[in-house]
Amino acid sequence: MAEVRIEGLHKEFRGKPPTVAANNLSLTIGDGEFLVLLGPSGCGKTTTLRCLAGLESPDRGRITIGGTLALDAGRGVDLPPEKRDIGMVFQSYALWPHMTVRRNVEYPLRARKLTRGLQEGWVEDTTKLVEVDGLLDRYPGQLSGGQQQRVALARGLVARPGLVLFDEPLSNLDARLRDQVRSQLHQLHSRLHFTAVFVTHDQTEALSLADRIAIMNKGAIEQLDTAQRVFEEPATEYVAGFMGMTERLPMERRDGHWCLEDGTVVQGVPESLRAGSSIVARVRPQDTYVEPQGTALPGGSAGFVAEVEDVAFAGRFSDVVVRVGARRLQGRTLPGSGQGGLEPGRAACVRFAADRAAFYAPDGQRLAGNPVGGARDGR
Amino acid sequence: MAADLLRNKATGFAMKRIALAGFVALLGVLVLLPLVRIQGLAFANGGQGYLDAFGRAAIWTTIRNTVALAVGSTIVALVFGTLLAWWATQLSPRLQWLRVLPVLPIVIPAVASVSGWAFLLSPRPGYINALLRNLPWWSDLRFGPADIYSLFWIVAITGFALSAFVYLFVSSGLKNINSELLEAARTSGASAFGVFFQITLPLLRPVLVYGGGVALLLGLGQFTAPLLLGTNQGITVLTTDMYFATQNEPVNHAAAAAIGSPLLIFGLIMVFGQKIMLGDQARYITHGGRAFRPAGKPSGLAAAGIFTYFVVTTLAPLVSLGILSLSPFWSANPKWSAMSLDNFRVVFGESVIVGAIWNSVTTSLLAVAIALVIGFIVSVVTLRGRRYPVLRMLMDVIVALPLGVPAVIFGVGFLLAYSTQPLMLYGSRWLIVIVYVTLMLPFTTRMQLSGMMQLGTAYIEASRVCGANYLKTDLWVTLPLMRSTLGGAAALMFVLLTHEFTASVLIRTPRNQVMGTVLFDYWGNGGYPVVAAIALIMTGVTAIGVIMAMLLGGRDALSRM
Repeated sequence: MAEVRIEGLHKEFRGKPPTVAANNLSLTIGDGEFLVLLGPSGCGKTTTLRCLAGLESPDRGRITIGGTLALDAGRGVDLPPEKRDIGMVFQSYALWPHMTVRRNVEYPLRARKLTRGLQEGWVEDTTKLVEVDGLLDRYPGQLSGGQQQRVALARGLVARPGLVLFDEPLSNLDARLRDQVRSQLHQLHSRLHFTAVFVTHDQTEALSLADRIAIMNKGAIEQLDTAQRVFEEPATEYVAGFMGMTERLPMERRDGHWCLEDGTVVQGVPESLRAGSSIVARVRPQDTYVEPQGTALPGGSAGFVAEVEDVAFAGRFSDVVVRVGARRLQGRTLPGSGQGGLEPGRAACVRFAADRAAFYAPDGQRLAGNPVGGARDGR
Repeated sequence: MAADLLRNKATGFAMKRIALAGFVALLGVLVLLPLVRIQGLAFANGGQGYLDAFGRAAIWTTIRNTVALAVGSTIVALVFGTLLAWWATQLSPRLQWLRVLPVLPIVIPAVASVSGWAFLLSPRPGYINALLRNLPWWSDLRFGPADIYSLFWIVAITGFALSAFVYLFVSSGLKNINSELLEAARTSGASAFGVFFQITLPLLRPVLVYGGGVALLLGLGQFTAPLLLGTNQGITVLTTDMYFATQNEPVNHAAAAAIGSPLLIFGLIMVFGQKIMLGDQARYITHGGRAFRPAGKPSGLAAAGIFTYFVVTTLAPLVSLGILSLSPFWSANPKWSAMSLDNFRVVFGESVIVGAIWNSVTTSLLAVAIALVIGFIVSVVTLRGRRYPVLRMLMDVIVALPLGVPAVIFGVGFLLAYSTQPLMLYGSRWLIVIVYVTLMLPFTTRMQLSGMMQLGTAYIEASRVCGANYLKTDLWVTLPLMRSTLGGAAALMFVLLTHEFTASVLIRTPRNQVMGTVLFDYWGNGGYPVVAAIALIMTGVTAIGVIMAMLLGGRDALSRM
């Protein structure tokens, strides 16, 4: 178990133009915390992880793992991976094909000369935890993808390292297996309380595993917060887009009303917002309801009129595409309403609860006075 | 504590740099010393070597012959190599083993196949010529119709040998062509021939340019065929001219050194050009490849074509060796009743020949062992030595040089560099070993480097985050995973070295021979049946190496060169 401190981590890859993979990044990961680095590919999350592992040499910065100085670029300290108290699980599993499962899992104990672990049966314990104890004498080539992943997990955990690093370990599994291994990993962490840094681009994975999520953009952290806060109160428009708030509504103040680009008036925009003359609203498609024109706007909701383009049956509700000006939006009918009386080409009323949306300044920063967390924002 | 860390790190870094610098310096001595010595001698006394070499009228005929040989054999090699590679994609699953046949000219000793060809197509007693003279329109001939001792046939035979290299390059190029590109052309209405000329060939252009360049380089440095076939007719090329300058009275080492310069310059251009075009090797690391589906339906014609080519260019010379090795003397009409194993008895009874065979095998094995170690270190530094950019680049160029510089130049260079004090190794077996190691540097590096790149970085990184340092990682992970690559590389180098002739013939001494040179001596004395027997034994030793390579390195082992 270990606390991990990253201070001013900076890493650039040469090229034209150079890629900044970690931009003066600072971060403290608590002892036993499960931190997820979330972001699209190329945002620098894997590079950050590899700097923690010692597989990449940063240009600047300091890293301490459990009180041990692992990196101080200014003073030329850069411990090689084998001298850091870590375990790592790779995307490709990287199980050595010429060793049995047992040899693979006991490798960290041998390499670190942890004879105590070998004698006390840590290999058996760990493989039992991830339910591969029956496969010890097989070779990796004889295992399924899910089994290989769990062996890789056991190898990462067996030496009881202070810090365990996960590099998109679930992305090579099919959807059902991924859910299984994910919940198994969650249980393992609540039982063993290792400090973990987990890299992924999948928000579902991040939300279910993380104590805290760090959302990365161009080598910097856009937001670092609990899963719930990141989900409900995305700090920037970038984070909102990444957390499923894919519908985007830029608005301008005209004659005392908030209007969309084509002049359509949006009613019910919260008055509490401390905004200038333009704002951007972000909302999830599943929170955007489309109803026949003339339906009254409930309290606490914002709404506007748009033209229905397409209605597709989706079970308890229908997915609706509406158009307002040149902008297309995704929404749905109310649950249980089927087609909801909508027809392509007709006008309809689009609404969303203001406290399910998030409002941003044009530069992408969250506005003070948002219905959710507005009080905190106003600090 | 941090200060301690700092100091340890700095000294560790410096130690590693010094060790690496020493290693690169050693490689530099191995490869560059002979080249420096050779140029030093050529330029000595106001460039007397150059004056002697290029002041003769005959040199221009020699240069013309050299260019004709290189260009002609490259064209032959490009045509046949491409055709064979194209055919090889159309083999039915049952006939996939035919794919290995076009590679065989690489592994059959050049002295064996060239002498085999001579026994087939020598104007008077050549077996095929004798058969052809039975045809009604040639029945009045007493010689011919073919004359192996001519530039035309030297070009053709060299071209057949080089076609194997083009075949390897084009085959791997074809594998990288997405078969859907070809299928798209077929479904757009193109015929099989249309697809080949309109889609496949244009896509192969980079490979053909590269393969053609390699063939041209090898054609320029070609030694065995012109030496064995051209000498009596006075057909000389630069390589044989160099050889004669070191052997015939008056011996003129300076002239020999100068004659090689055009070859040396062309080789350097090729090596540097390739380095510039490829850039950083580490960029080519992949994490597994996509599967390739062969295009088109299996074709019986393709199988027949590959097999026919094999019979004509590869099997026929071996058969002629077989017939002659069993005959008491070389005549146009071998007498089956007089056949015996006497020639082999002579071979195994002659201490010089037995000594040469033993010498070949032991020096080759020793050189392979040394080359494997060097190649491993070079590959590791190439992939991981980002901290030493200058040393790494130097090393990279040094180990690539022996591929571009013809073996005959190394032969002369080593002769000059190691026949004076303080490096007096001439006449010792160690000189042969050192030359062999030098010649193998590009092969051992390329094969191990590509093996390591195929492994990817994940296995090694996984081991390091598990707490193993580089040494442990290499011992426990890299080496075991590279076992087949190493085995294949060792066997292939053994093959190449046991039939090495060009450099050997320059540095051998009468008491210190290898198989190829002792064969050459018997060729010069007219002991043709014994030549055939030695050639077959060489081929047999080679075959053992090839089989080992396939067992250790897998069926594709031969295509890794």
